[in-house]
Amino acid sequence: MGNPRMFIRRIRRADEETRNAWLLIVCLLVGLTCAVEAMTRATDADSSMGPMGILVAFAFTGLTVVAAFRPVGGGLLMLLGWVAACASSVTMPSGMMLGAMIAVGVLAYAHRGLGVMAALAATGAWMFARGGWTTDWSVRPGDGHTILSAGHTILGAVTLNGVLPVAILFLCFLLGGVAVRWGHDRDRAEAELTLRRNRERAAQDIHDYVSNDLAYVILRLDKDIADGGPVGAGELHELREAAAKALGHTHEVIALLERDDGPGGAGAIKTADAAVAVEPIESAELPESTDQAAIDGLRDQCARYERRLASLGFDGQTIITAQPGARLSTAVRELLGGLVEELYTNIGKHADPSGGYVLTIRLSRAGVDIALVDAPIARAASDMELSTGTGLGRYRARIERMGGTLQVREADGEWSLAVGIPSEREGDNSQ
Amino acid sequence: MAIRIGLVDNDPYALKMLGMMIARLDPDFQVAWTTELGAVAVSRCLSPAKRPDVLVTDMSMRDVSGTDVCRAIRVKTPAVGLVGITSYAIGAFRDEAARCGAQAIVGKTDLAGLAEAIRRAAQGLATNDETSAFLDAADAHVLLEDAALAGAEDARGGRALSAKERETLRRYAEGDTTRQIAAAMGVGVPTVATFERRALAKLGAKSRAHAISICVRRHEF
Repeated sequence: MGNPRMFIRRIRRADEETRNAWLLIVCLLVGLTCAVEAMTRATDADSSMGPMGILVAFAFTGLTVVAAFRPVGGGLLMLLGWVAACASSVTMPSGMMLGAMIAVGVLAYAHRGLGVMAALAATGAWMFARGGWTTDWSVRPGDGHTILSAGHTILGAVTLNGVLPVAILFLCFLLGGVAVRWGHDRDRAEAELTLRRNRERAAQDIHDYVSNDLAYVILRLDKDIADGGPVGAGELHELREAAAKALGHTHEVIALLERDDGPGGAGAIKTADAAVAVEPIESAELPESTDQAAIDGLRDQCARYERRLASLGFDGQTIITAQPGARLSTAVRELLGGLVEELYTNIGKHADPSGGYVLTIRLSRAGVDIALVDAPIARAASDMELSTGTGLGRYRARIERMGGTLQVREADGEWSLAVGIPSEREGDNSQ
Repeated sequence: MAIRIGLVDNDPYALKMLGMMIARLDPDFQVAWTTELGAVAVSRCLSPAKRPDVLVTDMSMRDVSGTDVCRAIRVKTPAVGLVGITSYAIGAFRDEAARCGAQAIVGKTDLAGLAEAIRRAAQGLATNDETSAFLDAADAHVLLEDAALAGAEDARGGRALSAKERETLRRYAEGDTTRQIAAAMGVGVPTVATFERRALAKLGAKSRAHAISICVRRHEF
């Protein structure tokens, strides 16, 4: 706080963070109360509030208006005004104490330390005004006009005697401000997490669906160029279908980015290739038939990608085993759909067609085990346009978050991958 | 003559122990490689550069079953002898292993039986007792390859007879005996019986004669 300009900038930033409609209404109400009370007493012959007191009341009303639009700066001024009024012999309107309490709450919200200092200053000023530490706990209905010698009537409704009750009220506002800040910080952190997850999700969907489809199209075109022969209508139709699919997925990802759903919410991309990742049904409620449908969807997906790889010259095998009672939670189905697509696409990008491939997927009560073996080819510079090399890394992180493992080995011209995904524990929603 | 052996088992300790023990069973046994993944075993058995003479596979593995490993290899090649091992009751896997092209199945503690099964499997020969019906590697390959081709045909829409099934019925129609058909096709007698059984099932025939009459009506021959 050494640099005044820096301090003012921080106060302004805190004003931006703190300002909200509710606070505006409360500040204006407090200001209105002060003004009404001052005007009432100005016309009351028995009132102890002199011209100076009325002036102070209207000045404080002005500060409440400032606080309505600049809560932290205005609150600071309100508190300073209240401390100054306490130090003087001016009779204050009761609304000023309420304003000071709100100022303590606002300052505690903006900065905990500042709130504590404000609460101490306010309590100290009040103690000074009362002539020392008194512990008179009496709280009784006020008459709306009489200012007791050792008490303070708030809004003409309640008269407080002694310092301790007022100190406790300041403490309550201090804690209230801190608690509201904690709540807002938590909400903001959750919102940021949701946003980050949505972005990750969008990036993953772009990778899983769009880039994989485009990579397939490029590989097919490369093959056609290498073959050198005329391209048939069937080939063109297949390429068009793959490109159209990529376009459709792009639209879905854009829609996901434009929505603000939670992770795995309605914004989650749902494609035919991720057929195993469909309706969000709770794991514990999954009927057997739904799992069978998911397993059938997985088989169809694998068969489709086997045909794709066969068209690129690969002779491989996919072995899918589903043991009785095998269940797939929504999160695992979703993961599996994308991972299988990633694996087949990686085979197309990085494996030698003459070396073939073997992919095994075993679904059991214990979880899912996947193994893949192929013969890698040395990456050429042209491969870089097909892959950013982040796909498996992203899946490894997701699998590890679910308590599973993904291991990759490469030796003697053999690339192998082993994935183990345990059955999702009840209540585990780490995705 | 050295017998190159591949060994697959999910349990790394069992894998190590089995590798050591198999190597000690016979001076000719040479453990070429071991792996914990069934997929790796299948891939290596299908690779001419890494193919062993015999694959010894655990039947109960985490990533893929031993029977699936046997089927995946046998449908592609007769060049690898397949021996299943298990610490469970052999009966639990015997019939399925036979259907999937294995040449034998033995208990993990039956080292003498394992050595014998490996020696025979290296020559493509099955090892049977009174309860088992393992086929030689060549016969099993013909059966599974034929079934795979017929399966692909089915997938294209239909229950068409495979070439081997059609040839079997045609030779029966010409009056050949099962033994003569087996000799002509270069397979074993049980294999011919399997071709016939499958053909009858596909045609919905009650007998061999019924199947032949259906084929004649459909101009299958």
